Amino acid sequence: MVAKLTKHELRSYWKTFLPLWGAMLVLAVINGFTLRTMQDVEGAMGFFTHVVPLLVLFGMLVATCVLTLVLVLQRFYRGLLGSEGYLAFTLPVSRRQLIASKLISSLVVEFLSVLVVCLTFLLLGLVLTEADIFAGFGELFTMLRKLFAEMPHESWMTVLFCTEGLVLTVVGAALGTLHFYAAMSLGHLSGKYRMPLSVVAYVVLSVAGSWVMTLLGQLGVEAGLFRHLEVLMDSSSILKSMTLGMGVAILLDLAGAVILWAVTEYILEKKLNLE
Amino acid sequence: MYLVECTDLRKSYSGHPALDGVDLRLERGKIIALAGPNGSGKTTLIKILNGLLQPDSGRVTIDGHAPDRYTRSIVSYLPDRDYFAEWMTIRDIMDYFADFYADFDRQKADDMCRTLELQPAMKIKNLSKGTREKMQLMLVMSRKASLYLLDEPLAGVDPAARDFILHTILTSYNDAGSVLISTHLISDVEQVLDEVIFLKEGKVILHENTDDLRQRENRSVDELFREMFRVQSWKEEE
Amino acid sequence: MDFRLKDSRPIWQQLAEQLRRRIVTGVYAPGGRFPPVRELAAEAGVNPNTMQRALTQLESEGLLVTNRTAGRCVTEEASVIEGTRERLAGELADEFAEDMGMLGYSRSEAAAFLTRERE
Repeated sequence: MVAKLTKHELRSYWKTFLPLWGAMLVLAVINGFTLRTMQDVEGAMGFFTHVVPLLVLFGMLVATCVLTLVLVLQRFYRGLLGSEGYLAFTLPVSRRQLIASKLISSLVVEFLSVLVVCLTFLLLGLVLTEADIFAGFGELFTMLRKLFAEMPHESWMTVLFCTEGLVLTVVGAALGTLHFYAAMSLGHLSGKYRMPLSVVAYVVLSVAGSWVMTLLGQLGVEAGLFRHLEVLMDSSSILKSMTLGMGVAILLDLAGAVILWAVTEYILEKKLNLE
Repeated sequence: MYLVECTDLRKSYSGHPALDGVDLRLERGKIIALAGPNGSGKTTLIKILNGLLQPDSGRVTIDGHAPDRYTRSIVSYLPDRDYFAEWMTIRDIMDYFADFYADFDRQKADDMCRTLELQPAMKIKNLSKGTREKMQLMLVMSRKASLYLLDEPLAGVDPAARDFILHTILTSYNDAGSVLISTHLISDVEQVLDEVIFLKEGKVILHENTDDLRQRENRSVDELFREMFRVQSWKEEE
Repeated sequence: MDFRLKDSRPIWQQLAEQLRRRIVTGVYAPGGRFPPVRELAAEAGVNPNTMQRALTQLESEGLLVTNRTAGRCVTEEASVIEGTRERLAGELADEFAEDMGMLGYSRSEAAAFLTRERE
């Protein structure tokens, strides 16, 4: 069921994003070519062939970021708390499944947006510098193989660290998205002031979140947690301590995400009141 | 077992009671009107039956279950508003229904589309209001549900469409299920009803077979309704 | 063929009356198959349950019979149909007489109206 719901969610996103992303990548290539000839530029003509394409590309980059946020919020607000909610909440699916599909599709779109932005810069750079990617990758692989052979422990630790980084990014994105969902759900509780209350709820949740973190930090110090961690961390293994730190960060973000999800689910289950 | 059972159902909005102790028992195989003036609690009751609202107290069961995923799979709901996403075409929404409702009869829906002269590729937002309403009804009645909840299906609809809608309701509901039509325009639907429920200020004040009612009161249900609620039917207002 | 129905009287009774009339006038042939409930209900624009009630009434009068193989049919017994025709005619006559009585005509005077030549 979640898969079906997510599929339909993504369909609504593609219609906006595929053209935009496609255009961005094309423009990256175009800019790569136009910027190569920077030196031979004169006057007004130069403006149109060099500056305008760059500005458009930049505009599209900004648009992608803004649009991603706006659409993610809109899909939740309109899709569940607006008229579309009459369809969504009478489907034979649970509130949990609805939230899951919204979250998963949001994360997919958020990540793809980031990916496309990176690809844009990559393409721009590649076309501009006429770099030979294959040679570059070849060198990279040989270098990596050497590293793994000479320092296996550190290399694998780095891999673990990078994996943790990836997990943290996902969990962090989920946390951020659920932050909005919970805020909108809390705003829904009001009759007439739903929008303003959502904004207030967002702020309150942010403040509460950092409050809890500070509190936990202080408790940690009290409990001598950090002294124990110091023992685990020796100076020869900064990597180890960072990996551990990442692990803790992931757990904390996960806990936050779970709490925000629970709040959202409870409100949609018990306190729903569509107009 | 009754298809729908409500026992002392109550729901208030900011202190104002919308449902003030509703007791109701609906059987299968009936077309029933839920009649009452605006603000009598009809929409609240319908929303509780399809799981959009939680009652404050009291019991409600559909096919023996409290409103949950199972009941949502056997209830087909027609709201009094649009519920589609902007970008959806007719085919999109039919695919959607087919995807989520096991009891959706795609063949029947396609046939009805043809009868209504609708192209599957049309965007829903480009249809006229009347066509959109007929289309929503078609989707709802193409499911083999146990309970059809129609919220004001005839409001603001021209006479030709009205006949079509009533005919669709009559010919497509399945005999193992029931149709509950929420309305404040009784004269339009009288003929197709088995039973009628009068809802006043959140309470059921009458629930009877329509022909028995006509025999006893020697009047049409609409006339009785207008008398009991001292409301002018829109026919009189013309 | 249209059913003309009013909302102020029980609909099943009106349906029974009109169907009775159709049987008596041969619209539905004696011994012939009778349309199924849903079809009739859709034609009349009424609830199948309401139509069923009308049909049950006609069955109790013997105008409709349920054959094990052929389903619901109009009765083949001419006496039943004739009897019904006479009964309906009698009701019409009594109605006429009553209405004429209100105009001040006696029963025989009312009868004379029926047999006189119309200019």
